[in-house]
Amino acid sequence: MKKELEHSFVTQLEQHQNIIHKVCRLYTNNQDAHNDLFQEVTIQLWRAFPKFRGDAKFSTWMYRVALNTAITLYRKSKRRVQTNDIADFHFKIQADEYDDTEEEQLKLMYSAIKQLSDIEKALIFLYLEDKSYREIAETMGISEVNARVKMNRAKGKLKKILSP
Amino acid sequence: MKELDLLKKDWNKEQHPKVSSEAIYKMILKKSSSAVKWIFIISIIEFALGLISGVLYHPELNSEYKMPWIYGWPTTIFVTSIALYFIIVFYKNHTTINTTSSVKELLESIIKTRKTVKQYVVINLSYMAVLTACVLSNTLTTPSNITGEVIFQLNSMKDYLVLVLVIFIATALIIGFCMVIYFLLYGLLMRKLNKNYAELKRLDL
Repeated sequence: MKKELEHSFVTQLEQHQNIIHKVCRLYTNNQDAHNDLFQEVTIQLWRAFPKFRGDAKFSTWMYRVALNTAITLYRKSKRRVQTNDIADFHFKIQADEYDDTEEEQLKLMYSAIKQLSDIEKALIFLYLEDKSYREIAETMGISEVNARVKMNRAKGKLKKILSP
Repeated sequence: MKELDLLKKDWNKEQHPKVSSEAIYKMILKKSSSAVKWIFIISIIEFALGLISGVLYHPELNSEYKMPWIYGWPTTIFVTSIALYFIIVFYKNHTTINTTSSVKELLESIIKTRKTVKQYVVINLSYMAVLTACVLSNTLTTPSNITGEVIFQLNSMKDYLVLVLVIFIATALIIGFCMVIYFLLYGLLMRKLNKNYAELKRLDL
């Protein structure tokens, strides 16, 4: 029984692992921290897996656990390497020599997102994942109206960071 | 927002290194490190409690029944050095398990930890049994400094036999109680460790 559970978990996780990678992409600043968070999310998912009854899709459930881990558990852990200051510094230099190429713009966007709060990051993440407001509300455990309001605020904050 | 939509287009194109199913198995089995961490923490708490009880220890207790000098500083040094030795070994086990990446090394670390915990419990329990028996026999047979009375008069062979029996039963009860506590503290952590060991072994084959 345990074996089957394990096998089913590992297969599904392997298939949907990109979700975790993408969460790590927004919440961490280097490869070590990325791997750390990936492992932390995997462990949390595995712990919660026996309670996952398949009411929701495995991937939807993964979004919830992965974001919860990134927002709550991981933030408390001291293992996270804080390199925000360097990222800010980097961003300021880039802002001065603004280059209109796509790649530059993407870099700027990533640095700007890294400056958002953990909750705002989660909202932007779900937006990038092309989730509807209903799905965002469900994943974040808030009302749809609240999700809209919060999303607009997060976008506004991003805009402000990009063009101060 | 133009920039955000640009990022959204790029978002799914980004390639991430694929984590293999074997690596995922390993991750979910890494729980071993938390069991070993707890073994280390509990051993430190135990040691700290020992130190606190030493501080709170009332000298009058010792003056009522004069204990032989061997129960003084030689015992303290002996017990403290054993406890320190095990704390260091537990700490080492904890750091090795944390930095281990291969399944084989993890298996070896688990075996090592199991061995150390076993040694620790056996040494602690036997030391406690010897100490309890000695303190009991001393207390029961020497006259109290305050009242001058001897709890247990040894006049005949029968008295000796009863004394031995009383000491044996009392020691067994105390050690039994300690064993239950050890079982709850370390036994349950060891069970988790053993389970992980079995799973890892299956994975390694």
